[in-house]
Amino acid sequence: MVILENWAASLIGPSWFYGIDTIFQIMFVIITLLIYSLSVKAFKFSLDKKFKNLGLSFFFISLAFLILALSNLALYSGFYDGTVRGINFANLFYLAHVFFMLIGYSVLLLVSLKIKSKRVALLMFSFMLLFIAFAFQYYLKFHLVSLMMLVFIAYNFWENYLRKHSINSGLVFVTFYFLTIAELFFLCSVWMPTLYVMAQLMQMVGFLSILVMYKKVLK
Amino acid sequence: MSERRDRLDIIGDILKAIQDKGGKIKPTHLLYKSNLSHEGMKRYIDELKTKLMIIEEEDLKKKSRHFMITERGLNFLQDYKKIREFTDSFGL
Repeated sequence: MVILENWAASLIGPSWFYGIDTIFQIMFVIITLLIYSLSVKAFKFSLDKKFKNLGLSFFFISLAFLILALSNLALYSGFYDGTVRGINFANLFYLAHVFFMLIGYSVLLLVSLKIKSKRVALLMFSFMLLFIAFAFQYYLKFHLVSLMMLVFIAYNFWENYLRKHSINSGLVFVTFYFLTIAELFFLCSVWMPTLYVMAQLMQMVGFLSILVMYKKVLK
Repeated sequence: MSERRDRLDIIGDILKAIQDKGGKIKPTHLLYKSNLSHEGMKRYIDELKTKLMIIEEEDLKKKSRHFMITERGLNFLQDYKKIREFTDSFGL
């Protein structure tokens, strides 16, 4: 456990929480996949590209959580110690998690802000790739960029809630509000590991809100 | 100001107008309810008839015509409402 605590960027929380966070992450995979499937259904029904892009964003988020969950599971179970033939695979997996999560948030931001310009999208993805390529202290920078993007996404969904005044639009706002708060806790968890637990709980509340929305839509 | 309706919304509005009238509506009422031009409505009606979502019924005695919603049309309307709710949730 001492080894784990030192080098794997994803293993920032208290050791008693190892494994519990993986269960949370697997639940996030399932929930985001459900939203992805609903988006695909909406796309097939309407042939409207915005649903395809919305689905794509949730697919990337789902993939990001899956990579993190599997990587952490391999570490916790003692399957490997993170490095194989001198290559730090645990950090490579974490980098893949960061990559897919940021791509997912970027697509979601473009969809929610209704940005259709391919140039703007390309510029955003270029910044993202540059960030990944030249980043060190992945953990801090990743959560800082995520926080910035989630603030915009959550604010946009807040405005949508004010327009629609429906329970479902409120639930989508609540989801991204809690995901934003979670990023704040993730950032602070560098100095206070217990806050990592709070961050995971905030994410859970957020994803459960969107699950309620999903159930309400399909009822 | 209301937002511009897309193709899916117009089809949804037409089917809902028929459903609200008990599943059967006169063309003049539908024209009024769907808020479309005569040409526009004709185009959508032809599409819905081709897709078997509505059928046209002619009463030779009364010399009147009606559009009736089919089972397929009702299923489409149900799916449309769900998709609309999903769209509204995200403000898309």
